[in-house]
Amino acid sequence: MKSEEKLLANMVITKYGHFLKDHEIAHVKESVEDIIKNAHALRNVKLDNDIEPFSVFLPFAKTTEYDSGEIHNE
Amino acid sequence: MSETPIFKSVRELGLSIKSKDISPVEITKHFLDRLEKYGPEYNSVVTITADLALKQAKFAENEIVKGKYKGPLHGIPYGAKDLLATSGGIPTTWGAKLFENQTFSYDAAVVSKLRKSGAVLIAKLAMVELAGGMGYRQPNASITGPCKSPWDKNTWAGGSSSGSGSAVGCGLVPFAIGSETWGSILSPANNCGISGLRPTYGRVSRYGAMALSWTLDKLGPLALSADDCGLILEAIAGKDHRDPSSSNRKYTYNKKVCRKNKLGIIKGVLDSMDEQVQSNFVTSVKYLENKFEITEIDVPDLPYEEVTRTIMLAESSSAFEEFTEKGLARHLTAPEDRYGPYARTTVLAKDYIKALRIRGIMAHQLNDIMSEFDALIAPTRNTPASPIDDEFRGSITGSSRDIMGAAGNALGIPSVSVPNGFTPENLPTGIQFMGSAFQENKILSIAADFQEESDWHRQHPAELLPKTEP
Repeated sequence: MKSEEKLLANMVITKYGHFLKDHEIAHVKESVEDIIKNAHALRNVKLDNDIEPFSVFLPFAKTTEYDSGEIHNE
Repeated sequence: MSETPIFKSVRELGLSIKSKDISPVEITKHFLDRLEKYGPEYNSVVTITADLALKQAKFAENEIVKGKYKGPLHGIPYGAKDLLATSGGIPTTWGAKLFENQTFSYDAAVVSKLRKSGAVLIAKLAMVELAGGMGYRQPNASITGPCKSPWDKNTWAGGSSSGSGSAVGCGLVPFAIGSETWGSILSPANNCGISGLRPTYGRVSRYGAMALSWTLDKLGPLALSADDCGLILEAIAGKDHRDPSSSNRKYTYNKKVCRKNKLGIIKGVLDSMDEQVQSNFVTSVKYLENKFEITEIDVPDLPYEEVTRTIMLAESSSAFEEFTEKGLARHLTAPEDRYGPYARTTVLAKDYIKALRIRGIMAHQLNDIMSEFDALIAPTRNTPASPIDDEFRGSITGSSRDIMGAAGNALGIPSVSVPNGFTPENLPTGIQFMGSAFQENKILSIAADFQEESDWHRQHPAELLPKTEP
């Protein structure tokens, strides 16, 4: 295992190892390796600084009768 | 109606109800009998909601008698994947033993909408535990056991909307609602020889549906024809303030849409496909060439599967945080699901954000390509239904290639699968038509045309055909 995989697998085992049997820990290590392989495919894509995540954050404000213009302050 | 309602399309049943040839109560009783008889045999049902169904059917009948006909779903029974919340003490198990007694005090938006259309909830249908999100690699990953294909009980119905596919294919319900995060509607449609529509993300409210991955989850219909899928989509689509992702765009089913009559096939999409799947697809393409100009296309070299996988892993890790932290996975059925949630807690925030950034690039570049075509086409799955006892290679945690599925789900674009033939072992195969966002009518019109001139969707397993009187 390479260092990143090792580090992350150790983190999982430290946090969740008590839930896992030995053979399951071996599978978890393999899964962490897959996740890192997956991450490398993403990291290899070069993006300009201004490329934003494709999800829009919208500030929230609850709409009131005042916002709808139906109630007027006289 | 002199004939049995079994294996009749929603449109046909609707016309019979409207003309009072058959009553909603009669139809409901027919399907209740089928559910009781075949549901356990195919592991396709979790709960039969007989009392509720008969009550709703009687209500529908009274309305129709009084001249208050609501439309093509009025009085038609249906089944809901067991991740959709239902009130009235009906369990919603999410396919997992751990949640077998879970109940909700409210109905999922899609259940409410179908009730308003007059449809009759007759069953909660089997599914892969937690919608397959923990990385299952075998059919036996459900509280109800491995769900079987109507075409061969030794093969799998597909997943994770297994029961929705199997119940429609077995003629236990006229239609069903399933969900798809990555492949969960199209896979059972393929394996069960029926039609399935994955709508555009946001087209159908997810309120009351188990969340696996908030930006990937979609709800959609499985039925006997693409035409039925359109009728059902119209009933369940629409804005819902309880689901912030739901779209304001109104949806009316209409097959008469303007088409370019051009279809695209992604180069290499047939690589590593099963030989018979390829052969049936090539035959379908030859037929489609009579009406469409079909072009092989290149798509940008981007990590489609890795983007979708990263989003799914990161979001599901958060959606099931408490479940993971408490070690509850040990109660799941499939051994691989018992350790599945842990490794994904290592997905780094920067990698998740990177996936979301690449998702935008994918959306724009693919939209440019797809705007030249009515749809991209491909085999729905690269194999027919797999043996019930076999492990398979999953897309979610594995490394199998599935550009259509990965891109289609990451970009939230619609796809409809319809049957396009059989293997020599008499297992169905499917073809999918994937369109641009909110272009369901276009892909449904192409699929419906395909079905008007083929009869794969009208074929049903001999042992499941209703017995005729001598």
